[in-house]
Amino acid sequence: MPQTAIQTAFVSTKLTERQTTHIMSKDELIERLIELAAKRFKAPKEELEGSSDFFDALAIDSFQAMELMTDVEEAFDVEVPDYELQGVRTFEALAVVLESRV
Amino acid sequence: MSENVVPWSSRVGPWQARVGIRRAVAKARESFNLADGPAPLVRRPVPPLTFDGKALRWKPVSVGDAEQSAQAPTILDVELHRTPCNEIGTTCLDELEQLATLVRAGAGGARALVVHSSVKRGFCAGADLRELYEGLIARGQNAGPAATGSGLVQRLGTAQAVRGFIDRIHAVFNTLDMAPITTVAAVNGVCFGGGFELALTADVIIADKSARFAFPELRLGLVPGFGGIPRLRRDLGNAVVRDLLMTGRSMGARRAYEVGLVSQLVQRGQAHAVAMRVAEQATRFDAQTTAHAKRFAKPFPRAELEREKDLFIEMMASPVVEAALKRFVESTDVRPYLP
Repeated sequence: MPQTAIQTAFVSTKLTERQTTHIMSKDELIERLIELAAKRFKAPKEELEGSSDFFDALAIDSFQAMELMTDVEEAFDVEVPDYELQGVRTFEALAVVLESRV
Repeated sequence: MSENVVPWSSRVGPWQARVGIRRAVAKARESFNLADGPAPLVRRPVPPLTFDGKALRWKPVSVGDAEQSAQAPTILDVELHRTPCNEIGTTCLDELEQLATLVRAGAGGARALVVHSSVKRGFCAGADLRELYEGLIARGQNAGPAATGSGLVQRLGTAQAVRGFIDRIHAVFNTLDMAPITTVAAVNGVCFGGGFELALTADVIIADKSARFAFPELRLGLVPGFGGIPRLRRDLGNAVVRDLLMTGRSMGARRAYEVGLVSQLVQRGQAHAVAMRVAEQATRFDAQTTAHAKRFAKPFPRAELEREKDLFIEMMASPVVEAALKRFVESTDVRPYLP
C-alpha cells in the first residue's frame, strides 16, 4: 500500500493544539506513538523504533501498557477496545490498529 | 452399553433425584472443611471513626467552620491503600465489613463518605484472583477422594464456600449503596471487576483522566458477582452495559464521562480533591432531605442482585473458571493472556 494512502487524522494532546487536526503518514503515527511512550515512561526516545517490543524496550507490565493506551486514546481522540490490542507488542502493530480508528 | 441395561436417567424419578442431591450435599459438607472458608456475616462491634488497616484506612474530615464549632459536619474519608492495586481478598473484605458496620451505625455522624485510592495503579483491580484460585485448589486438595470421585460433590462444596464470600461482599456493598448519606467515589487508573462494582455503589463518581472501567469477568468464564450489572443497569442504558459485559473491554474515563457513568472528569491526580469538594457541598443540606432524596433517586435492585448472586455462584463451580484462573494466575507473561 502506498504511503500516501495511509492517512490519519491527528489531534494533539495539548489543549491549545486540540483543534489542530492534520493528516499523518504511518511513519508519523509511529513517531508520535514513540513520543507518547517515551514521555509516559521517561525513556530515551532515540532507543525506541517502530519494531521495538514496547513491553521489553520499556520494561513495562500490563498495567503500564494500559496507561500507555489511555494516553494514546487521549492524544488521538479515539477509543481502542482492549481485545484489538491482544498480541500487539510493537509500535508498528499499534499504528495499524489505530489507523482503522481515526 | 448392553441393550439390557436401563439408562440411569430413566430409572430416577423426582423424589429419587431429591434424595440423591441431599446425600451429595451432606457428603460435600463432610468432605470439605468449610470452616476454613469465609465466615458468615456476623454482628461486629462498631469500629473506631479513625482506622488504619492493611487494606483500608479512614478518618473523619471536618468541613466548614470545623475549628470554631464542634457541630461542624464531617466527611468520612476512606482510603484504599493495598498494593498492587487494592485487590479484594479476605483481608480487604474483612476491613470493608468493618467500614460497613461503622456506616450502619451512623458513620460516626459523618454526612458524606468519600472512597479513593492512594495506589498509583488505580482504584481497585477487583477480586483477588490469586487468592481465589489458591482457595479453589486448597479446597480441592482438602476434599480428598470424595471430590475426585464426584464432580457434583466438588461443585457443591465450591458453591457453598463461594456463597459465604459473596453474601459477605453483597452485605457490604448494599450497605454502602443505600447509606443515607452522600457517597462519592474518586477513581484513578484501573477500576475493574469488583473495583468497578465498588465504585458503582457510590452516588457520584469522580474520575481522573487515567481511569479505566471494565468488567473482565466473562474472560474468566464468569459474570460479575459483586452487584455490578444490576447497579450499572440502574445507572446506564442497557446497550452500554452489554458492550462492557459481552466484550470485557475497558472504557476510558472520557468515554465513561460521555455516557454518564462519571459525573466529573478531572485532571490526573485531582479526583480525590474534587470528590472532597463534592462531599463538602453535600454536607450543606439537611440530612433528612438528603436521605429522602437518595432513597427516591437511587432504587435498590434487590431482586436482580439476588439473581446475579445465584448465577455467579453457579458459574463459579464450573471447570471453565478453574482453568481460566489457572492460566491467568500461573502466567509469567508481563501481559497475561485473556481471551
